[in-house]
Amino acid sequence: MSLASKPLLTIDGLRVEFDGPDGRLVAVREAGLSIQPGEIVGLVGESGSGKTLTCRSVIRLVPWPGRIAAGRIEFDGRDVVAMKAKELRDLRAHDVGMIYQDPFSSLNPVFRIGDQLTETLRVNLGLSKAEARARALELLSDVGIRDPERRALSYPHEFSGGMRQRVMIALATASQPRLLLADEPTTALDVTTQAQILALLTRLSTEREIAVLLVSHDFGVIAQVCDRVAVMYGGHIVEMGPIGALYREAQHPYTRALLESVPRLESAGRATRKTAIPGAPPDPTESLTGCVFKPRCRYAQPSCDQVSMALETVSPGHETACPVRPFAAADGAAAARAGAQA
Amino acid sequence: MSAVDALGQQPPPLVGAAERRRRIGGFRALSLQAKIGAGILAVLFLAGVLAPLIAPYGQNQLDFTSVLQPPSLTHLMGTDAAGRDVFSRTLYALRLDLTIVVLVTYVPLPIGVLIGAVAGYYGGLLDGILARITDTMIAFPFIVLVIAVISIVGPGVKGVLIGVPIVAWALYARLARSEMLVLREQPFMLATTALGYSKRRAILRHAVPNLMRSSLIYSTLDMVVNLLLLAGLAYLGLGAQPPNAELGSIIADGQTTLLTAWWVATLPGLVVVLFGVGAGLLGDGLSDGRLRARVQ
Repeated sequence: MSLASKPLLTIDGLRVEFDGPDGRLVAVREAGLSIQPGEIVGLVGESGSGKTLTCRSVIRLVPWPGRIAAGRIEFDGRDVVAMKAKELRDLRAHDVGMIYQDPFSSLNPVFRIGDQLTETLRVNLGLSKAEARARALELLSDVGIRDPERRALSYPHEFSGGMRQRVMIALATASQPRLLLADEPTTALDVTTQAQILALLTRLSTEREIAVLLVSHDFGVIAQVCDRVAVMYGGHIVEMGPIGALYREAQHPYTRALLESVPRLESAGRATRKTAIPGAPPDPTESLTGCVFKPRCRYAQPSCDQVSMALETVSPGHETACPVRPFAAADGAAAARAGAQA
Repeated sequence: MSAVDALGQQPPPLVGAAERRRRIGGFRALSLQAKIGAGILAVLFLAGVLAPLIAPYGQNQLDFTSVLQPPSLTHLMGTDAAGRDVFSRTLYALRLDLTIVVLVTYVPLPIGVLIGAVAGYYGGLLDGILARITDTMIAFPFIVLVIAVISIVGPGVKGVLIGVPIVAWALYARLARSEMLVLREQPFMLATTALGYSKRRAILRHAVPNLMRSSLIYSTLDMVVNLLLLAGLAYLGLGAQPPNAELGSIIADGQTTLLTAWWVATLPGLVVVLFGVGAGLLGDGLSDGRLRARVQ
């Protein structure tokens, strides 16, 4: 992380709680990350780790009855948590776009593609009908829809999943946002389409200087496009760093376990099973002391009960919440292995 | 486009506007059932609208020389005890009744849909309050309320025009609300918030077009209920006052001569049945018809 420029987005000590009939559920316990302008940051974690909620919190889209209980979210120097309704709408309309996991239901089925784009351009940018129409066609062609004049007249159900996700990206980036929240944008797509969508996101990010927060449970996806990665577990960011450093010298046992559980091509067809992490993620209704990963950690020590989960710097830009560092000594060997594989 | 983009993107064959209409909508896409239903309703509505043109006699034209004549070519539905042509009276009755039915069905519909959509979208306390009001309206004995209104404003169609809409919006509100609860969780509704649209825009422009369908289908049934109510009230003498004809009052008149001249009460009664069958077929066909079109 270069500290030279001012971050576009800063999240600090974010806590998201749900008050239900069975008591309080803490989905995000203390999450912090920052994104520089134009940067692609990955947020990876398993289901229930709080990654989607962290992502949604950026534009305060936490579903009811959840709420942001504590923490600071700053977008371009503006405090998002304290924003009034009008400012918040403004932020959503102009500065931050969002795309979702399910491209099949993220477009309104009763309106034509072109009309949905035109509407955004007219409402959020105040373009005239003719201007909006022309711009909508440009946007469609920019996200790789061929023959946009005719495709604009189609309804969402006439599009394939990948094309719908393209339209969704066009819609989310129509009002020139500086940050795009991508919540598992490729999970519902097949691998070929997935690669295309990721390529599109990278291209848009570079061409239009849009920062992207890419949420995924798939390290493969993250590795393809991200500059930096934050690993989330049990509502905490447990490790964060440049993608290369994290792959080669992950310091947190959870990050290692996650990387080890990604299937690799060379293991295909063999009877070896990938190591699954024993145990289950922490119960969000319990209050925890010490490290959240301790119950499942191979390297747990008695001192882990006193861990604060605050991130400590390993190397510039690379931070981890694990003070035990069981891999510190083995790093040289791991780097050599990684080099041999590449 | 880059090579990656050209890979694997297989747009479905492009179709023109006319072809699209044929595929997703239009009369021809409807199921046979819906077509028959729509046909029956069209004939009945047309008969009502054109009543002054096609009725062979005036609705109150007396002819004491041909009293209680059975159906014949001169009197298609026979004549009643005062020698009035039942066919002509039925046409005029249809005209009045269908006008009222359309009013009391399609005026409350948008109101109910809107209330339900708002309740479902916001949820919470507002939803709780609106849902209780809706429940009260639905639980309320419909006909009793209408009779109560009539007792205030006096007999005649005014009672129905005021009384029915007071209650009728509630069912649409409940339908729209339940659909909204599902709709509001849809990513595209989330997207309206994420795109910074106003709540008004989200509800009116993005949600309502999606939840109109069930209400429109239900409205065909509602028309039948309202026609029966209207006929029932007229039968009780609470509808349009004599000598103006309503289907219910013609039937009530004919009841006294049912054994000697069955046609006076039976044939207008069959018109009511026909309307019910037509509306039922249309409603049923519409709910299947869309499915059929989608499968093709």
